Amino acid sequence: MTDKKPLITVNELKIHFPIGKKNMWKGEQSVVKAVDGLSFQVFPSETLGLVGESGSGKTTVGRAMLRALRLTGGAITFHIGNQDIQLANLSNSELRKFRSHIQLIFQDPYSSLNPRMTVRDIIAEPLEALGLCSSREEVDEKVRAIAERCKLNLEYLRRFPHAFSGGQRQRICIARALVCDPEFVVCDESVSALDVSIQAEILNLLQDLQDERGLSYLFIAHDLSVVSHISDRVAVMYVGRLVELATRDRLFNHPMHPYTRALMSAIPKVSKGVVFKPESLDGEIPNPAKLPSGCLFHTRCKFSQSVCEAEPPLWREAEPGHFVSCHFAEDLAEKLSAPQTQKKPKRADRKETQ
Amino acid sequence: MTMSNQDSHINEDDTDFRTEDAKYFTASQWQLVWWRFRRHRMAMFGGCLLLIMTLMGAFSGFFSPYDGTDRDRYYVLGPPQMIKFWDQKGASFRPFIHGTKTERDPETLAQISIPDPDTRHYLKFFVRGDTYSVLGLFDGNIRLFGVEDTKIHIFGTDDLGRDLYSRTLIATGTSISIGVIGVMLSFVLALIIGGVAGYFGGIIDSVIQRATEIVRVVPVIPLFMGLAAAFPKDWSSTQVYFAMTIVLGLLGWPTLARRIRGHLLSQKNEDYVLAAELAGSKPARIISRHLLPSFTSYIIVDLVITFPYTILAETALSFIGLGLRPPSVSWGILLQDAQNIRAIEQAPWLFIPAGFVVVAVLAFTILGDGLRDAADPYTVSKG
Amino acid sequence: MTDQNLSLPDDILCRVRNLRIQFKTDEGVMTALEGVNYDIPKSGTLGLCGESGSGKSVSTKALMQLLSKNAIVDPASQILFRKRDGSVIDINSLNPGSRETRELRGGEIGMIFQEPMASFSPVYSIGNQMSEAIRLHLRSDGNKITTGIEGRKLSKAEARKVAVEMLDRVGIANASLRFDQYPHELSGGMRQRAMIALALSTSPSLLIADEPTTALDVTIQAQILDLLQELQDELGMSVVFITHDMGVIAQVSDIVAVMYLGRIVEQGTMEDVVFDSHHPYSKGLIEAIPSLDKLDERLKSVPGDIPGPFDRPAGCSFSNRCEQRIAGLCRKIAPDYAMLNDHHVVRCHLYNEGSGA
Repeated sequence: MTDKKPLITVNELKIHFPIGKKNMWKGEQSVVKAVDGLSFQVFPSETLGLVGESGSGKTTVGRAMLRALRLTGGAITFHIGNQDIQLANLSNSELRKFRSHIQLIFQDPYSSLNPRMTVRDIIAEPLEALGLCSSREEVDEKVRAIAERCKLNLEYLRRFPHAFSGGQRQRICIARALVCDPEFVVCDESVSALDVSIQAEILNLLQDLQDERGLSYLFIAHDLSVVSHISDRVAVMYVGRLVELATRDRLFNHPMHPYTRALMSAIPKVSKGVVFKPESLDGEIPNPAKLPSGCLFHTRCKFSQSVCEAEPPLWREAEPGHFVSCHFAEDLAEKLSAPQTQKKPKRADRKETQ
Repeated sequence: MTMSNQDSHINEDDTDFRTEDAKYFTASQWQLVWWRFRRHRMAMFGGCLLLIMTLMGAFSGFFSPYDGTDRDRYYVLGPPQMIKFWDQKGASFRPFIHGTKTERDPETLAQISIPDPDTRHYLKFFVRGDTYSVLGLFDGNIRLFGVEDTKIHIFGTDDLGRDLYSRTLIATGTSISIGVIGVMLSFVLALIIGGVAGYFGGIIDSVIQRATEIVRVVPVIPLFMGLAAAFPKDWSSTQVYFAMTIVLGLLGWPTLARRIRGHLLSQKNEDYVLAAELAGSKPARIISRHLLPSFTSYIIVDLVITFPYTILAETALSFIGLGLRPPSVSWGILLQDAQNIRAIEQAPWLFIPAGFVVVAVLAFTILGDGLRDAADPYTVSKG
Repeated sequence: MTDQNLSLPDDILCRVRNLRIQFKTDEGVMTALEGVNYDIPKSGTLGLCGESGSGKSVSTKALMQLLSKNAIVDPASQILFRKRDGSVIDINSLNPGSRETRELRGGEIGMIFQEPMASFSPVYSIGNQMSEAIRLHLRSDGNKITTGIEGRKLSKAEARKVAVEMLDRVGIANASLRFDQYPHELSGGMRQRAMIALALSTSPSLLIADEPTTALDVTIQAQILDLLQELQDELGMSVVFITHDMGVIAQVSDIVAVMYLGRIVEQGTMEDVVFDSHHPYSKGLIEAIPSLDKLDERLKSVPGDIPGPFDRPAGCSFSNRCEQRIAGLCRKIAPDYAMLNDHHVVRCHLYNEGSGA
């Protein structure tokens, strides 16, 4: 996979939001560094999972990749056909035409569909807005094809969104995103708002569509286990920076960054007849307007040393295809095995230890 | 793949849909609004009242027996004549009124008219009367009812002997039409100004906001006093009518503009608007296909609520003499005649136009309430 | 009105029998709960697991008499609760506005919600709101603070002391400072802790936790679950934990009830339901959860959608999505409960004797 040419290269992406008023005298402006120097690649036909908790900046990354936000620094380059397209340099009209290559599936299936348009019109929007088809019949044909593929009954095309449940609406969103055959789709917490029994169906559908069409996904979520199922590679973010990026199997079996380990051990797990107690991580996510010095995670890290507070660690390829940003990544990987979680003690046992 | 098993389950479910649901699911925004609105009986009632009023005002020539300038010398400042179906002489299928005779009032020694129980004048329907113009398009002379040999005044007459009922109907037409035209003008202005401010934001928005505030602050009464003085004396009453309408329209846009801007601002950030942008829609398409339909129903509510203000404004201004001039007839002009002690003491029927104003404003308000509740048919709780 | 004949076994704090709740809506009367039965063990945790429309939250609101005005609770339903003084009452027979109900609500029965921001008023400080609850439910008999109804009302200073201690107990640093802060000044995790402190400051014997960690990050969720466990052990209180996350249910529950469309479809000890589930829906829920063990396998999903409140199938409520449906039976006739062992109950024709499965 690392030999293939990437579809998207992100280099030192920075997105800062100004907060408060500009200080008139000093000309300073305090900023929130929502995304602060991300570098990664997305390859054709793969799913890159992006995991993080609140305040990590993962949604901002997703929006930036569609240029729904202005970049403060860095570059996002698309390699489509034989061209290299710098996203930030596109003019407004060029950007508009480029939209057929990149799409987004939103988190909230209720607010992302215009309640006043029929399903057919909603799905047809990209085709009609961009003038991709030569006739109305062609539009209708494409809409029907994608609707069927997303398992939406053709009857539904005449209906309005208020007729549908969350899962069905999400399928309408998927159909809309894929009708113009994009190469890249950002799934921004696309299953988080759905009931568990529906989530699985949508995830399966997304995977099937990827296999058929050679799409790439950036799958943004806060739920590690959901991300793990659909992703080929996974990236972990913490307060605006990437802390680890590896193939899924490597990340889950040999995580190197203490935050990744903490995330994994915090999930209540049930497996093979045993219930595992989640390990909690002390402290709170730092205030993004007042970030700690050095490594952003050092305030909560069990293994932090003085260098962690002094210097921010570099984003480096510790092993082929496995990137991490921690001073002690290799040492920790040696000393600790895969995160062990304790078995949950039975209630009677618990009382005895009181 | 194990999909086929699941497929058959899903397809089976669809045939379980009830047919009433199908109607609901394919209902457009307007159908949903109408269904919700229908449930408000008060609002429907208000709407019907307004409809009746508007029709009677628009076709005032047909519904009234005389045109508003006819003078009845025999029935000056006369009370309303009751339409009866029976009197001391017996019952009658045909409605009638009593004739009148003049007498000297024992206290004031003035000539007054009182009903004469010995004469009956039967009502005739669809009579030929004076010519009138229908909506300015063509002329007609069939009137709904009338009497032979004498005149019928079901609301009484004023001090020039003019039939109050006919004048009230004409006034209804005038007042409501001023309301409509004024509001339409305000609306067009508000749409453009508020729309630009809301969609583009930034400096454009700030500048427009300040301009809006300046216009809003202008005090209405002194302005109209100035205008009343400024309207040339030789302008016909029709010209004054249009001028007033335009001025009312020009003053009414700030509130509407603010509302439109507010709607735009709130809808602009909705996910589905972003989705439209990401689908490659140009701003014009986003505004027309996505944003405008999202608040049209709210705007209609805003308009309906603004009507009464415009109508009241015209009524009030005409009432104090700063608005329309005779021989134009509006509710305000009619109420000018009621502005004195003599009216309260001796001719309280001159206040009947006030009743029309009250009913119209109340009806608009109730209608607006009902529409507002129905305007957003999509607020259903999720999950 | 306490019925002298009501009684509960010693190890059960609350017993719900035949709870049937309907709601009057514009579109008609919809049934939210159809005859639900469960027991809340003393000092133990009942996990209520279900998705939207299952009725899990509605049943607990009935416990607190917090249902909206258009709710109709069947008078034949019983909610037996053992009060602190030992007497057993039927909560369903109480008037929602009565003094007895108000003493229970917030006093003996506490509740915490999913969205802490929604349960704190933004215009009063945290401390103010906690003091209000504390002074309503706790009394002082001169020496110590009790939960009885005798004694005088607590002073503001005394209430503050109790509140600050509680905030400290739930792990909020600088509790005294935080007491005077407003909800928006606290982070999500801290607000949730504050809400727990608020609910527990009156030492309730039953705590209802309605999706308390669903909106939290997973690392914070782990902290909160730990905290709840500690406090439960310390206070010996019972907990009803409502969630749709089977992993969390397995973590916290002693007894689990799986709900679907207003009915309990499977119920038993946690081990029974999670590791030995029988009902097709429970099995589907468990298998649909992505877990880190079976990463390469395709996720098994539960097909179809949850029917709307007016589209409920006759017969078994799960029949239109069930892959193991028995033709001619499941859609027409609602299944009875089948006892798999002393505690494990399932409601499915597959396990009913005499249905020829």
